[in-house]
Amino acid sequence: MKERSNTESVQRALLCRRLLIIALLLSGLIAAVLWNLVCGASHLPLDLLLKALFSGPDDHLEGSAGVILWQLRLPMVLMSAVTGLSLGLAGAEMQTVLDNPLASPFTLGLSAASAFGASLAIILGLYIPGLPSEWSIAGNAFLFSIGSAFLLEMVVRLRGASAETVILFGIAMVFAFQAMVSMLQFVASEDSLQDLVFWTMGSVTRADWTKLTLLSSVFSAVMIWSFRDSLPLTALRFGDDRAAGLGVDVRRVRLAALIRISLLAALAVAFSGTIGFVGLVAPHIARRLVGEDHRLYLPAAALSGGIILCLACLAARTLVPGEVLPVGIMTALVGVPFFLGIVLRREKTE
Amino acid sequence: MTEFQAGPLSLSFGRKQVLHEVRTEVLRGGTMTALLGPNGSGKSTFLRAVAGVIRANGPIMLDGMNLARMSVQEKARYCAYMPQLLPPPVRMSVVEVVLLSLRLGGNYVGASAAMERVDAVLASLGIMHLADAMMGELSGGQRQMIGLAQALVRSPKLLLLDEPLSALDPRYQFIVMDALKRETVLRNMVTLVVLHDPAVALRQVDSAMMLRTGRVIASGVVEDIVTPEIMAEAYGVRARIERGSDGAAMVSVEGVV
Ligand SMILES: Nc1ncnc2c1ncn2[C@@H]1O[C@H](COP(=O)(O)OP(=O)(O)O)[C@@H](O)[C@H]1O
Ligand SMILES: [Mg+2]
Repeated sequence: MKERSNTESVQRALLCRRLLIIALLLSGLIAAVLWNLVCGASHLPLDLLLKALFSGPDDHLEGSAGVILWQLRLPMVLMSAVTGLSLGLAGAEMQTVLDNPLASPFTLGLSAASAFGASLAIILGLYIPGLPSEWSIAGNAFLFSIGSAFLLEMVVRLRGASAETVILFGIAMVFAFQAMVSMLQFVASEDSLQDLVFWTMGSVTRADWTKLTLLSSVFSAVMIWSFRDSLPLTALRFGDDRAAGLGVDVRRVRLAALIRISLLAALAVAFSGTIGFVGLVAPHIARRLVGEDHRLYLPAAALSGGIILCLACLAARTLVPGEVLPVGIMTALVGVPFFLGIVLRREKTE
Repeated sequence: MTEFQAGPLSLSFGRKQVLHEVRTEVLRGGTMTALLGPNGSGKSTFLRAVAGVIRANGPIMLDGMNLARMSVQEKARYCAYMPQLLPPPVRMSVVEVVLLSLRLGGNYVGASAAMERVDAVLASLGIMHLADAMMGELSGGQRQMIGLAQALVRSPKLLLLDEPLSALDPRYQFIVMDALKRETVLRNMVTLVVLHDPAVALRQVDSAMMLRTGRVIASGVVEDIVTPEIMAEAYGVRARIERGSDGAAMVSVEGVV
């Protein structure tokens, strides 16, 4: 009996440590957002910043500080935070349901498909009357991203489709959709071309409050939805058969996850363009920090994604004085070595 | 008294028929039945069909309920299934992994009662010392033990195990068979276990069924199934069955036919 209480307390300590890590990640994200607000072309000292922040968007007490904060920096920084959260969560779920540590919306072509869908909406002028154009663009991006998600899932289910085959298939989709986006660029008129170039290189500089509201609402809804599926998702990590034996409706859980992933990938791309590798790296960090109980793993992956993208955004804005680099370039610079690292480690273990 | 009978079940993958009207005898609570047969004879497929992981046509009756008609969730309340594939080295602790099984079981009993059940199962399998280890630190055989604990902890009416001994050393093979026999009687379970070694079956289980190319070629009391004639027919080997001085049966394979 002594042994028993011991195990129980070890478990409780483990849980407390992991909850603490989640709290730290959350504080890290808030700190990264604040850091972003302070830094930039014109330095905003923290006291001025806080004053402008608390006096609200309409009351421009300090004149230019209020404008810089509410119209430029805050939408952009919050956009990178929420985009990072979305990509982190999408990547985490994707690695679980496809059982593949190299899966992410970017590496398997969901982002490219979304970019094509968004471009197509712009070129063809596919706007739903009465709704903001963001909605139609995001909607079309979603159609293409969910289409490619189901194609991927079909390849996974085909007998003998190994992790490597799936990755190669995903990369083929990336190439195909990128080629089609380039083709659209070729035939596009001068002013829509500006829009398209933006999608091929992710950037958060076009953020505004409408997009931000839309993306945050979808992210919140999806986070709650996936959290409710966190037990069955954890079971999927043990393989389909074992999960089904444990009472998990594997097809339903996987279907729901694919819809969520496609939603997040499509909206992230429609508003911020193709930002690679955040969705790949964040889940690996989360697994190391809190393990794979998805009740902890999913929030941790989302938060890691948010922090990564905020830091990338900071680097993109401050690395070259007077210039704002596309944030997608920053994440690629960090992400590519990481991607290779995972590939090489897999090689070694097999 | 728990009563179980599955089949006749037939199943095809594409154009290849893998199960031909396979059926069990009427199995009673507190007994263990071995599913025997050469590689590729359809043992795993039959067990997956009974567990409901794949669909087969035919009834699967447990105490008057037809499991084949139930949803996966509902079925998991009565039946626990352990697949042949070892659990992967997921980044979770052993206790977390076993608790997960209870949480998903549909009759979760609350944190402290659940913890008690987890401890009882780990103790009965002799792996209490692994409780706080991470899955990634364990060997394949140790992970197999955790997979078994996941199934046992639910105390189901019907326990389905696919080659639970395949990665175990002799000591744990003995411990597992011993624990299975004990729990089967104690909880009045119907235990159906795929074994690749007929000798183990002969010593440890009550009844057996022998499959070959998706057909049952013999089923009944284990002594009537593990015989030189049936071994020759099923596996294509010349086997001799002997009784040791303690009365325990031994199977020695002397050649192929
Ligand atoms: N998912 C599947 N698709 C196609 N054929 C399969 C599948 N699973 C098993 N089989 C075939 O069914 C037969 C029986 O397999 P299995 O039940 O795994 O045999 P056992 O467990 O007795 O070794 C084998 O010939 C195998 O090739
Ligand atoms: Mg098998």
